[in-house]
Amino acid sequence: MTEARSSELDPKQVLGNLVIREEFVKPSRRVFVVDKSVIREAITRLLKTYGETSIYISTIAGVDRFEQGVIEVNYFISILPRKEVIVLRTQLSRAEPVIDTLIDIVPGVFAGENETYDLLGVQFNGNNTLKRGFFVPEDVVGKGVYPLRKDAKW
Amino acid sequence: MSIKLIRYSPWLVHFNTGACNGCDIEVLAALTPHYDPERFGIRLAPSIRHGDILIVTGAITKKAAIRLRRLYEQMPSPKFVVAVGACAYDGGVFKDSYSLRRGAREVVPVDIYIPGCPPRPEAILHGIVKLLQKIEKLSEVGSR
Amino acid sequence: MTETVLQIPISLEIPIGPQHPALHEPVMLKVYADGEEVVKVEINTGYNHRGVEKLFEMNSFYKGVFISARICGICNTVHANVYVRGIEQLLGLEPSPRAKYLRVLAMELERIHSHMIINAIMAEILGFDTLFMLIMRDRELVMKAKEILTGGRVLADYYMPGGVRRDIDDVKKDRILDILKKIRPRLEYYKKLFEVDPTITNRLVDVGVLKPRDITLHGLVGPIARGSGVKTDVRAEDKYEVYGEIPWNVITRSEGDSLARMLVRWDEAIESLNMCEYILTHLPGGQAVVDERKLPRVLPLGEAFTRVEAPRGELTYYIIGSGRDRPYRVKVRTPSFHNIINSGFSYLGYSIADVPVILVSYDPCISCMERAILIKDGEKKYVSLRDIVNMKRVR
Repeated sequence: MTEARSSELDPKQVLGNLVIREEFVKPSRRVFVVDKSVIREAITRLLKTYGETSIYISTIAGVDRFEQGVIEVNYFISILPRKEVIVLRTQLSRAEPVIDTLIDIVPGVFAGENETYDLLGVQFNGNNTLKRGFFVPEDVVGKGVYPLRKDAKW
Repeated sequence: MSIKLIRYSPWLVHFNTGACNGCDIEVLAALTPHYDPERFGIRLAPSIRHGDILIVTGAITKKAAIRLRRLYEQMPSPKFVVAVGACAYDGGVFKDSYSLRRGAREVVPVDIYIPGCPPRPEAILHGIVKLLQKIEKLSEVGSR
Repeated sequence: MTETVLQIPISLEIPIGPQHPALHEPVMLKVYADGEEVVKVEINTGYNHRGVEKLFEMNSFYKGVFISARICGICNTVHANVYVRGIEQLLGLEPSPRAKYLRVLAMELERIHSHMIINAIMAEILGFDTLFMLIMRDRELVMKAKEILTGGRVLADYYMPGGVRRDIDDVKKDRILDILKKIRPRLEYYKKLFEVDPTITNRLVDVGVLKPRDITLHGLVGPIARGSGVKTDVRAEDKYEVYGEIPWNVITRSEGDSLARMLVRWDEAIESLNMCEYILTHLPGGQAVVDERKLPRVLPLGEAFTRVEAPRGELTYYIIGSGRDRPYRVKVRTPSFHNIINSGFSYLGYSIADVPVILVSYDPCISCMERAILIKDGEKKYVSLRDIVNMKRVR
């Protein structure tokens, strides 16, 4: 498969059977909801298809969906040849929010994963740079509080 | 006697306690030739131990407040403090945040407030000159 | 083997996290050197923390316009722009063409002044005080233009969902055009200087070389990416506001060293100047100012992800509406978040003397960067960045 052709591929085709459902975020950015267990596979497929120098992870946004008992972790990925930003959305249980790390595949998640861990308490398996107090001050850490959660009290 | 020297050649130390940089770049701009602070003898001090006037910018975050206090104590007397910007006065738009103190006056004694978000370089120089005039009056009464 | 440790405190504009009581330690780049060569870099974090994301959730979304502008004073226009566009998408508002042109004008003027200031700082740490003063003097012209347009030199407070807050008439338009005419030869002179002056080029060439693979895998954005040949610019990708209509070019260079990054900024400043002149001479008629009394009071349910090309790189906002007047979540990812935190790998193998040069070429939002702590053989000393740049270099 030549570079030129693969860069035109629709991400939906690349992710294929990993996608549980599609949603969208304004302005018409596609959201692919995937199971948290396949996040590494999804990213690896995207990197292989488009090439390491043609995509990057732009933002990792964690959201505490208190009512649904879920913490969402959204990976916003910019696909340069398609000039498109897609979202890989995973949902973790609020009681035990754990997901695999991407840091060995994409070292640039260092900042985002540490932030999401420190502020929301999402555990990224395999990332041994994670530490509390990366951003949150000592006294809040001492109370075991994850400040960005909706029920956080300090 | 030393107060008179400050009146004619004040050396500034600038400290940012958690600002958006707006006030900082206006303080920086106030030190450029366009505004010519040197006609008042104003210049940036090479270190805190040579400073006469402490310029505080930023919404005072709690951790920065400790450093601010330490910095103030390291300055030799006579010394004066200028709080620049709305954030240094009481937190500005960040007023309700839990990570802030209520303004610089909770931490150090402030002599002059320069309001604005951010204040123009002319306003900053005007504030410093007002401070210098205040100092002149003080030197007539006797040193602090 | 002498152990030298260099700690450069820099503070970043990162509105992370809601309520954080005492957090203010600036980000510290802890650089370990063996002799003069850098062998390890640790990022000791702490941020300039004001609990901004929580403040967004605590205040109405209109107040958020003003909070977002004050996240970073140097690039306040782009912060306000990306937030307002996110709100507009949730509300379903579309600004008029004239308003869009004026918005872009404000952002491009800001790009010029931001690039000038970081180049002035680079000149200053290299020891070029005169050049620093000259650039700052000419930058005042740009601040004047911004003030004529928006009413504020630094903080524009120019944006409102639906349009802008002030309009310009022909008198103001001519004044701004005059100023732009005066700035052009200065920008070209500075670009030439950075290209040919050996004192600058000797310190910047081949320092901090980044390959395209390093850029995308670490998520580095903005002039850093474009200086290494990665052709990414949010203005070209998202084509927001009027970037799809006015003629402009994405600037890239292929060398990937610090000089390439600074030159990309000068080229972009000149490109922005061209854009500003085009906008002023092709300004559409019509209404630009929004009637604030008629705006909706409630932010509907929905999510929006907007991006903007800030002077430092890609700035993203993710806004979730709650159906009330306060947003459910606002996530801000500033360019410096990636550019500074993820770039620890790029200092290895260079001299300590190169570290400030590389750091400034990444354009950190500098607050208190004047001092560094040098610990050599167990002895602690406070040094200025300029003194570090003058230390011995090994190749």
